[in-house]
Amino acid sequence: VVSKALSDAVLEELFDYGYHTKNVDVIFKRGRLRRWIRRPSRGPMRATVWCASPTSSSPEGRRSPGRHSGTDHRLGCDLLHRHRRGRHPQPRASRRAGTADVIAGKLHAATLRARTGFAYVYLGYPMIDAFVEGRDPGHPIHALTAFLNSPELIAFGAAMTGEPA
Amino acid sequence: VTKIDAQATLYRPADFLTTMHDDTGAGERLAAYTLGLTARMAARLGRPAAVP
Repeated sequence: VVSKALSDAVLEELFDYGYHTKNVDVIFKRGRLRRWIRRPSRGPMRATVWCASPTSSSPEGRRSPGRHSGTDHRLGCDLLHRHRRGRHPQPRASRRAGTADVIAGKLHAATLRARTGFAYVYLGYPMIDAFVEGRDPGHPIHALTAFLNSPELIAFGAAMTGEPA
Repeated sequence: VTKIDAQATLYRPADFLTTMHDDTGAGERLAAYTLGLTARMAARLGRPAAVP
């Protein structure tokens, strides 16, 4: 639904900024979605969007710009403008290539699996890889990653498992 | 114990995890843990019972 509601270019850039299907949910009323799908031009449609910023730790920021009623195009532009104004870290060029294709591939594969059984797609944030590669500098999750691998917690893990640190 | 791996996953209402295992075949995993972070969590919503 997200890929249909947002243009490919906007969707890909949002992915680059760290938004993904768990951060951007577009909730359509079914009838409205059917009518939109039937439209020959498939232009922007009104949607209710929950959006969480991947770079904010405040409750308000996590939902910024909040429950948004407007066109999908306007929402995408709003999000991108926030990043372009420097309010959030800029994407790394290496992350831009192929992100949307990877997501589309996962959705397609899940659709095929769903023909014969239960299928789903989820996206996780690889905290260790992101930390080591310097991805999303300044993101508060890196503090948690550092804490999880601090000498104190390594020692705690050793004590819990009985294996030496 | 030389490192603690971590992956962040966001669960929304109605999201759930199916039966699974984390055996990747690498043979380096000793134990697994889950750290739950819940926004606006309150005691009235339930919490683990104290261990006697």
